[in-house]
Amino acid sequence: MDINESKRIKSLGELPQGVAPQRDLWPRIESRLTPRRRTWAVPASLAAGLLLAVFGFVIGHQSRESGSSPVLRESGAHILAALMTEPGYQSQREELLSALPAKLERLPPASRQRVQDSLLAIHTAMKNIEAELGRDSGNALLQELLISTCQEEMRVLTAVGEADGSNQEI
Amino acid sequence: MTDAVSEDFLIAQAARGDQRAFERLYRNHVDRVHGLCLRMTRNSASAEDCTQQAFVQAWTALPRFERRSSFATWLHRITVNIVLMQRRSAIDLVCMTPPEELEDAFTFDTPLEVAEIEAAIDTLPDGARDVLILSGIYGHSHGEVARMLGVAEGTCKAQLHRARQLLRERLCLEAC
Repeated sequence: MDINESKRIKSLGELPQGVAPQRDLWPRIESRLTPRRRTWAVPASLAAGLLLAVFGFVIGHQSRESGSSPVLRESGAHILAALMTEPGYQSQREELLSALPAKLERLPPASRQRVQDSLLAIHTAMKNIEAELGRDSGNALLQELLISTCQEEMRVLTAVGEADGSNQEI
Repeated sequence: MTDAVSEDFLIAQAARGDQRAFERLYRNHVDRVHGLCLRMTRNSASAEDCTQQAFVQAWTALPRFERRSSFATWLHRITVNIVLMQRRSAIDLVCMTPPEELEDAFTFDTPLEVAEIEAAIDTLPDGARDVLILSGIYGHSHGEVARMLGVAEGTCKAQLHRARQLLRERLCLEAC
């Protein structure tokens, strides 16, 4: 068995629990995953905005790389910055965020709590992903996760924004 | 790098169909799942196969994950089930009487080499080895192990008692 070898231990509980596979199993696993229909959909205009923002980021990033500004290369938070500066995305997000407190007030307590918990988790995740990207700015997985987290935030904000205010459940 | 991103969040995202979030879960858990498979199957190729199968099945079942246990425990339950199915033989976990007392931790008087202990565990019969691995190495409770293996908790304790006795013999810790 390929588990660590000469180390001496005094109890079974000290045996290493993890044993890395000899090769990356993810590609084969990924090819076997059946796509799941998402239970939500980002509005088409927003999705387009996000795509534009990402595209803008990629172009901007490439031009910085080929140009003379390596300082900026470090920060993976550029993705978020690109999203936030994309006019459509930013204005829609700001609009939804400013209307949020009033909308929340009109929700049933259980829904309100769920929304607040979701947003808290989303914002914590965004901060953490940004921090991780700061350390590992080229990590495509983190970048994708950040995008999907932004989408998730917008989904929640949009759902709250579209609630008609009559104590409607979300 | 993954610790900082909440596992709950990744689970929720993956349950909604986000494969990138699921990949993060995979990277967080693959070593433990593979270690478990390797110990239970004693074969590298089978362990890789079971590991892949476990994650594919976890992906399918994730929307139904109810968080009554931790994600790691839930994933281990799926993994054990796959290994047992692959083994295709009833493990020798017939009903057994549990011992009066069962010490919690299995310790050695003098330190032993990891490789020596792993080799001794490899020689145990399937049923006893499964229980020893899940309980002694991965720290699952008797109840959890019993649920994973589909046996009574008393049987699980009896198997663990038996496994420890056999392991002591194999390691020449007694009467050698």
